[in-house]
Amino acid sequence: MKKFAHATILGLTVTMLAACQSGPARQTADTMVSNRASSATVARSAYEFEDADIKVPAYFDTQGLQNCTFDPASENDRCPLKKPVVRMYFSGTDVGGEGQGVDALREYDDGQLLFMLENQFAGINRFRIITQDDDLIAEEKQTYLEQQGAVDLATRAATERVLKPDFIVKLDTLRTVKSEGSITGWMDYTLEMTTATLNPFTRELMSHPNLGKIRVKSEDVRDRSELKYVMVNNRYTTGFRYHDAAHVNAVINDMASRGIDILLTRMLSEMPATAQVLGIKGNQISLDRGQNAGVLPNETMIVFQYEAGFVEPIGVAHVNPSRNSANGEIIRWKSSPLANDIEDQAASGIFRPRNGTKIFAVSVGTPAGFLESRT
Amino acid sequence: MKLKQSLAMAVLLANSHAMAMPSFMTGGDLSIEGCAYGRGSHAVEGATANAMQELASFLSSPKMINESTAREELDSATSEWLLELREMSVEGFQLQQMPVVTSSPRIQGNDTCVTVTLAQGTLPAGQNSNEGGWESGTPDVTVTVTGEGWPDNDQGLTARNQAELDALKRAVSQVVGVWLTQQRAQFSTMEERASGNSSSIALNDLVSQQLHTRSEGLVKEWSTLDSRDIERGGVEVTIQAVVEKQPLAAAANDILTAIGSPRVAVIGPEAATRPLKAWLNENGVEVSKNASLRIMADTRLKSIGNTRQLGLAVTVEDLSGQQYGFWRNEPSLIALPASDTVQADLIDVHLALPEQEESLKAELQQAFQAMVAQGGLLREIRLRKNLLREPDKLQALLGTLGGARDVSVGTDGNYYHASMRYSGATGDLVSALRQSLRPIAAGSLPQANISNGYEITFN
Repeated sequence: MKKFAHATILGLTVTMLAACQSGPARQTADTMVSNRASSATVARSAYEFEDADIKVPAYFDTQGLQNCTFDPASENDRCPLKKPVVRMYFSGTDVGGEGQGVDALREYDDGQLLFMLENQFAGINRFRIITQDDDLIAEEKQTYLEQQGAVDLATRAATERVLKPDFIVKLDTLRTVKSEGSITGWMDYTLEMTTATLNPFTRELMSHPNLGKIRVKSEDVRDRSELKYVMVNNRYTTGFRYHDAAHVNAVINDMASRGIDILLTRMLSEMPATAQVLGIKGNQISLDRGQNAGVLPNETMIVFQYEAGFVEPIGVAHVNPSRNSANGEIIRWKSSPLANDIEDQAASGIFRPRNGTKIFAVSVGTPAGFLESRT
Repeated sequence: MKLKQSLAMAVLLANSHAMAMPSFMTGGDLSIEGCAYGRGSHAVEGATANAMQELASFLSSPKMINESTAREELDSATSEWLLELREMSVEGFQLQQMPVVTSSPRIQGNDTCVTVTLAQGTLPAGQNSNEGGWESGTPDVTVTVTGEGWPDNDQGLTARNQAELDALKRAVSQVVGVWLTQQRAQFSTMEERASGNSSSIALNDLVSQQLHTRSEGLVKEWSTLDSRDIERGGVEVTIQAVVEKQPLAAAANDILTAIGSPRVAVIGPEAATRPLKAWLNENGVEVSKNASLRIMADTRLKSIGNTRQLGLAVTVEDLSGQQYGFWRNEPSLIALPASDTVQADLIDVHLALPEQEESLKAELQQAFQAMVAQGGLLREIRLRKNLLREPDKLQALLGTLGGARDVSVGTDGNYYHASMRYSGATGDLVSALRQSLRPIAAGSLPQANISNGYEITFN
C-alpha cells in the first residue's frame, strides 16, 4: 500500500514537471526564398465579396479634409489630399561580362521607359510627377516663343515655375541573360526591379511605400519557342536574333512594361484611397473626395466605422469617383448588429454619422479590371 | 377669380423657389443655405455669395415675405424687422454690408455649402462717411534745422545772414536725403544695399552740394525759431523751413542725370546690348565706343542635354577696372532646344520679363549712383617731372580742385602720377588742371594728351 502511494506521488510529480515544461514558443516558420516571377494582385470586384471578406485593409488613413486649402500650390501638410511632388529616375545597372546575347542586352536604352513610367504613375494620382522629358518641354517652349512672343513666354515661365520635388522615386533594374541548350538553345532574360523613394537633400530613403522587388522573366511575356535559336558550328544560324539589340529591346520592353504594371498594383495596395462617408441613403454612399484623392473608377472599397481607434466594417462598396467627390453602392452589408442598424436607418432616409463616430471607405487595392483597361 | 389665379401663381412661384426659401430658425434669425461647386476658399466664397443673393432676392420680393410671414406665424417683432429690411432693400442698400454670420463650410457631394444667418433685429450698418485711408503725399516737407555762421566781410554778409544761409542749405540737404532714400527704395531689388552706407551718404552730400546754389528756389518759406551768439562772433540760428518736394526732386534728378550719366561704351552680343542701349538712351546717357565707363554684357550658354540655358551677366566698370555694378539673370527661367538662334532667342525672353528688365535697370541706376557717390570716374594724370617747379604741392593743389576727390600722387619713372575721381568731363578736368597747376609749373604747360578717355598726360 505504501509502495503504491509512493509510486502515485512520483507519478504525480513527473506529470506536474512535464506540465511546467511547455517547450519553445513557435512564432516563426521556415519558408523558401522564391525566385519565381512576380505576379500582379488586384482587388476582387465588390460583387464577389463574401461576408468574411469584409475586413479593413492596411494603410487606411482617417484624416478629414478640415485641414485642406484645396489649392495644390499651397496645400497644408496635414491635408490628406496633399500629394508629394516627385521626380522619377530609371536606372539600369550595366550588364557586365561576355557571352551569348550580352552585348545586345547591354545596348538597351531605358530613356523611353522612364517616360512610360512617369505616365503610368501620374495616372494613379498618388504623386505629382515632374517630367524629365526636357527635349519635349524645350521644343514646346520654342514653339510657344514663335507663336506667342518673348514677353508672353517670359511672363508665363516666371509665374509658372517648375515644381519643387519633395522626393525622388528611383527605379533600379537589374537585367540578366542566360542561354540554355546546345544546338537548339533558348534565351532566358530576367529583369528585377526595386523602387526607392528618397529625399535627395537629406538622402533619407523612405520606408513607405514599400513596393518590394519585382521579378519579370522573359517567359512571362514570350513563349519559350519565340526565344529559340539554332547554332551550327557554334555560330548563330536561325531563330531568335539574340545578338540584335532591336529584337532584345522588344523583349526587355515587354518585360519592363509588365514590371511597371505590377509596380502600379503594388503601389495602389500600399497607398490605398481613403475617403470619408458623408451619408448613406439606401445602399448609396456619398464620399467627400474623389479623383482629387486618387479614387479610381470601379474601386472596391470597404466601408467601416471608426470610433475611439477601433474599426468596425460595415460593408463592401463599388465606388466611382467624380472630380471632388465619389458615389458608391454598398453591394454587401456586413452581417453585424452595427451594419444592420445603419442599413435600417439608411433605408428610411439619409443616414449621417454623428456624435464623434465617423465612417470611412478605403480601397482594397487596384480596381478589378484596371490592368485590362489601363495597361 | 383673377385674384385667386394670381395667388395660385404666387404660391407656385414660391414653391418653385422652395430651395431658396430661407427657413426661420427658432430664435427668429433669418438663415439660408448656399452651395457652390468645388472645394476650398473659392467654393466657400461662391456658396456665401449664392446665399447672400438668395437672401437679397428673398428680401426684395414682397410676395415671399407675405407668404412666409403668413405661414410661419411670426411674432410681431420679427415681422416688423422683416418689413423694415424689405423697405431698405427697395431703397437699394447693399446687402453685402449686412453683419451676417457665415457657418463653417460643409461638403455635400461635389458642392461646398455654408449657412448664412442674419440675426434678428440686425439692420444694415450706416454708411461710414469717415473716409480713412492712408495719407496722401503732401507737396511740402517741413524740417527744423540749425545753422551756424560767421561774418564775411569780403561779401558784406553778417554772421546772421551766413547762419541763415547755412541753415537753409542744411534744410535742403535733409530733404534731399529723404528723397534719395525713397528713390533707392524704389529701385533697390532684393537688398537695401546702398541705403545707410557710406556711398549713400556721399551721394546725399554731392547732390546737396550741387543744390546749394538753388536753395532759394526750393525753400518755400521759413521762420526763425531761435538764435544765439557763439564764439568768435558767430551766430547759431534754428529755423523751421518748408521745402517743396516737387522742384527739389526735379532739381536733384537733373543733377543726378547731369553728373551721373557720363558717356558709356556698351560691349557684348548685339541681342544683349540692344536693350541696354535703349535704356541708356531713355535715361539720357550717351553711348560711345570711346567712353570711360563700360557696360559689359557677358553671355554664356549652358548645355543640358539637347537644350540650352542662358547665363547673362552685366558689369558696369570704368577703364581702370573699378566695378560699380553687377547684375545677373536667372538662368533657370527657361531652356530652349539647341539651335543657331538659341542665344538670341534666350536673351529676348530673359529681357522680355518685366522683373528681370526692372532689376537690370535698377542695377544700372545704382551703378551710376554709386559712381556719382564715389565722386565721379577715376582719372589718371601723368605730368613729366620737369614740368613742375614745386612738385611737393601737387597733391594739395589737386585736392582743392572743384569736383575732385580721392587724390593720390606718386612717381612713375620720369613722370608724376596722380589718380583722382572727378565728377565732370575729362576735357573740363584738363582745363581746370591747366588753370590750377600754373602757380607750381616750371613754365607754361604743354597740350595735354587724353588717351582712353581717362588718362591725361602732360608731356
